[in-house]
Amino acid sequence: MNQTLLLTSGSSLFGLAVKDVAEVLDPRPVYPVPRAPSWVLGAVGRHDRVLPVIDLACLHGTRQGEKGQIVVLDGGRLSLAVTVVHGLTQRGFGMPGALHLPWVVEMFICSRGLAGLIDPGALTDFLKQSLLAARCFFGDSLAAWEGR
Amino acid sequence: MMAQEYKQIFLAESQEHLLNARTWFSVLAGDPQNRQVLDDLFRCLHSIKGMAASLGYRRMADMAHVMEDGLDRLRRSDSLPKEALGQLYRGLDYLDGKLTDAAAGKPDAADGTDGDGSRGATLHALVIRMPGASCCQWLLLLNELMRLGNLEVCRPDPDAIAGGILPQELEVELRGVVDREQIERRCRKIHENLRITDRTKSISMPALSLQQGVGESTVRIATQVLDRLAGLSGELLTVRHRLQEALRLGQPEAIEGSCQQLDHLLAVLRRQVLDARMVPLETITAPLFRQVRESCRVTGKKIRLNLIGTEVRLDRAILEALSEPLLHMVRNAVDHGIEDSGTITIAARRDHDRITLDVSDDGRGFDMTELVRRARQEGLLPPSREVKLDADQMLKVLCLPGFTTSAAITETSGRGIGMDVVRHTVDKLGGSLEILSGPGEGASFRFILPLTVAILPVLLVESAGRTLGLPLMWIEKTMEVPRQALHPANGGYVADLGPRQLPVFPLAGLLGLSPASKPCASTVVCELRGGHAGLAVDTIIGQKEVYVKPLLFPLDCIPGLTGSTILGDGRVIFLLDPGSLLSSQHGVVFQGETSCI
Repeated sequence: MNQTLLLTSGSSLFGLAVKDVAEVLDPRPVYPVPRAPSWVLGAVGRHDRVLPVIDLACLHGTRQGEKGQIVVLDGGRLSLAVTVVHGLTQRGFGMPGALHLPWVVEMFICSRGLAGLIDPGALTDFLKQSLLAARCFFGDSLAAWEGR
Repeated sequence: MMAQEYKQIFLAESQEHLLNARTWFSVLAGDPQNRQVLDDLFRCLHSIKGMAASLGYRRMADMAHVMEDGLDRLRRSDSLPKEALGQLYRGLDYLDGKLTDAAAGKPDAADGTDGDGSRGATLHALVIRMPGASCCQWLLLLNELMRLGNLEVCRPDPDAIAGGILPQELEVELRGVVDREQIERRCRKIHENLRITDRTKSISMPALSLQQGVGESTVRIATQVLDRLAGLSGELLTVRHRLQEALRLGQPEAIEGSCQQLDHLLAVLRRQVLDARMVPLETITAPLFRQVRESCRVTGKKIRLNLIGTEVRLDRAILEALSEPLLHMVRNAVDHGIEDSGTITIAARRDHDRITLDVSDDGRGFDMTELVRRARQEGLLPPSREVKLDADQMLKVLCLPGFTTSAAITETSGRGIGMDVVRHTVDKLGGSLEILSGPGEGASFRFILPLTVAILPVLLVESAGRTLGLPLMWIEKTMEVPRQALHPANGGYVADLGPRQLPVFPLAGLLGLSPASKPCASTVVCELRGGHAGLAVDTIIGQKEVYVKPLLFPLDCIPGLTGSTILGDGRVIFLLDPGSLLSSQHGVVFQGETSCI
């Protein structure tokens, strides 16, 4: 019932409810996206779609380590690059999520330690807000307008 | 056929009939005695009535019926009073509104579409013969049957009868709260030799329930096109067999020949499929008449909508995306552009692989002083400096999210959301938007759009080690410019091309990439259409037609990207929109986080 896909990103443990996962992809080339924010690792071709790959490590401020696997979220429209996928675990007692990561809705204890449960909806909202804030990256400064 | 599928067909066909009816009405307004047009109109309304009634949209069917009666009276009087034309237009608007409701799945208590309308009704399966009956009598019979209940099955099709194909006998399945005798009594009034026989006795069938809402959009495809597609699949199978045989026998020449044939067939197949996606622009421009009429009624203005070249065909996906922006622009013209009376013109023309769409009005145009003042007031422009906006900058200000120069907010416009939506939509379609008019010349916008978003010819280039695609519709030409002819200027270069100078921007720089470090004697420049700027790239790989994959979130939020594709070797390539790239890099940027453009 509380089946969760356990994964490591950088040195942190995370979980995704099984219902939120569409597929785990084997390592494959990730193609960089021009002008993308740093947390967009790139894109992969999956079936008939070009699927964005989000660098989970970058989102929680860890050093970008080796990205082993790609977890495709339910709906097949977004994917997360993670260091390793450990497999399924049963989520037991949970506590409120990490304050500094709004997309982690719950902390739970598993055989590997304390893990954060990712809420894909909250993650998407967080990415949208990050993009809004990053819009300034895509233009020049006022100085350029004034021709300096 | 499933009820939902039938509903899709009903919606698509009724939209088409309404579109035709509007055209016929405009012809009729100038030539009220045109018998042919009256007959065509009659057929349109009759078809809508038939389908609406069979699906339980009683109000639509009734309105179409009333309009038919009105037309019949006009046919007999040979005149078309202005009031009658106005009433008929309102009838069309009503049908349009009901169709929109039906498409949105809105239940209507008066319709039988909530599934309850046919409760308690009986299904009568009948065969009706009327020896020697005229077309008119057959149509009157159909009218009568529709009044008696829902005509769920009718063979031959009412359209065929309206088209003049008279049947020996009519097979119908009529659901209604009437008995067999009532049907016979009412129908016999039309033709005294009418004979009705039961195919079966009353059958208890489940009510025709319709799910709310419409699923995926549909495109009506002519059966000839489907026949051609079926024929092509057959040819492809034959070539595959030939190829397998050649492979088995190890015949390289035969393999080569089959591959060439395969190429040819795939090209034909692609052309046919793309053609099937094309829909005339008038599908979305015709309903604008209603919008303008309604706005005129509310505001008391006298505005004419002039449509030119709207028979041009575009990809359905483009049309669907374009519908809302066009509506915004027309609303803006009515509410803020034209003061008392004037004309809004929408003119379309095909230019090779793209469509140019001009939307203009002869109203007061843009008040430049007010535009700059409001931009400053909103904190979008520096307050002290003297600023003169050119057309590009003006467009950028107009398209800022939330920007409006209108002091008054009407029910439909003035909230500053319209032009932002317009710009965003055009960017996402890989098109461009320009302002053509100057101060005091009315407002005139030009859309340049691709014909289709599915398959695009692109120029593959390499920049800073990345392979990227530039849609060919934006490329004027490519050339090699010697290093010494490039002079640094304002963050880019100016290429000295003899009689003229061309601003050139390194693509790698626009994409935030490090340019290739190898020294080059010359630079490859892709001159953008219109000759306003060039992009310097490392290598031109060549032209290719690619199947465009839409960008998913968050990639669809990145300015300068217009799509992606997967090459034959599995590589993912991103397609760029040069105009958007240049404007986001070298365009107007204002203070404040959310006002950057």
